[in-house]
Amino acid sequence: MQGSSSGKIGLNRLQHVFEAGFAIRCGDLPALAGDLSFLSVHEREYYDRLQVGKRKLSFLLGRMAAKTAISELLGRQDLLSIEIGFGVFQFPVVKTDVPQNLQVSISHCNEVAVALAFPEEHPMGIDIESIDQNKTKVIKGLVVAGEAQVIMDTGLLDAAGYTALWTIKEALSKIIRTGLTIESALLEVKTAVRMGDVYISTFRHFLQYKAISFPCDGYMCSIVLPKGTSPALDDFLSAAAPAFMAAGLKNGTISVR
Amino acid sequence: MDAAAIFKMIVLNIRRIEPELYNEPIVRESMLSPLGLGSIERAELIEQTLEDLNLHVSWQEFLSAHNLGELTDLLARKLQVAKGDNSDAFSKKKQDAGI
Repeated sequence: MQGSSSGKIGLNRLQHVFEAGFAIRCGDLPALAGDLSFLSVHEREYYDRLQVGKRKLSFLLGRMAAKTAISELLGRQDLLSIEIGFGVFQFPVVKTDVPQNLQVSISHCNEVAVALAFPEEHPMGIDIESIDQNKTKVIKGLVVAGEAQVIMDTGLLDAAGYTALWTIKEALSKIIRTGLTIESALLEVKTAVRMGDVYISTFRHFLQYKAISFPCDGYMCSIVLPKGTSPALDDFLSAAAPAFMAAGLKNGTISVR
Repeated sequence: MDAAAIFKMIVLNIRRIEPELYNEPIVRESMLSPLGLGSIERAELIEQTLEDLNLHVSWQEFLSAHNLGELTDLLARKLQVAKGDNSDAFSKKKQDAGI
C-alpha cells in the first residue's frame, strides 16, 4: 500500500497572503524502503542506525511528507536537495539552498504521515492520531478543568473528542517547540465549535492561535495556525480523505459522531 | 523498589505496548521515539508504570526524560519522595495517637 497527495494551502490574512505546502503520505515499510534515494547523507545515516521497523517506517513517511510539502511550496521537484535535521528538542529543521526561512511541521501515525511547510513569518503546527477508545484513558490525563465540557459541546463521541483535544494540544506544542512537556493547563482549549466538516478551537492562553480539526476515516487531524488567518483548506481536506482511508483500511475505522 | 527494578518494569511495559520490541535490546540509554513509540504510547507507558508503582501523579511530569535511564531515575526519586510522605504521615498519625 502506498499513496501520496500534496499541494498548497493559501493562508489569507487581512493584508497579506502567505502560502503553505502540504503533503500526506501513506505506505508500508517494504514499499518505502525500496527507494531511499530521497534521503540526504545525514538522513540516511540516521535511518541506518534505527533498529525498529515501526520507527523506520515513521521516519521514512515523515521525511517523504516533509520534503514533498517543501517542494510544493518552493515549486521544485528535487527532494534530495532538501534535508530535514533535528533541533535540540528534536523538532524538525529545514535545510535547503534557498534563501528563505522555511519551517516544517510533521506528524505520523500508523502508516500515514502529514506535513506542512510554511514560511517562518507564519507559524503552524499539525498533528494526527488514530481514534482509539483504548487510548482515551491516557488522553484524559491531559484534560484540564472545563475542557471535558468543551469536548461534549462539539458533539463528538468520547474517543474522537479526546483525540481531537490531544492533537490540538500537540500541534500547538510543536509551534512553541516544547512538545507536550509543557504544563497541559498552559495549552488549555477554551472553545470548540463545529463548522461544517471541521471543528474550530481557541485557546485560553495562546489567544493569537486557533485550531482546525477534522475527523477522517478513523483518524483525527488538527492544524494550529494564527487566529487571523483564513486558510484555503479545500485541497488539503480533499486529499486527506482518500489517503486516510487507505491507511485506515489496515487499521480499522470507527464512527466519530 | 530500586532503580534496576523500576527499569525492568518500564521495559516490560514497553514490550506490552509495542510487541514488536519483544526481541529488541532495550537499555538505559534507549530513547522512546527511536523505539517507535508515538506520543500517546509514551504517555501510556508512563501512566502504566506509575500505576504499577502505585504513584498517583500525572504522567506529564515525566515526559521531559531524555531516555529510559532518566525516566527510571525520575520515577525512583518520585517513589522515594512518596515513601517519605507516607512515612511522615504515619509518624504524624502515631504522634496524634500519642504512641
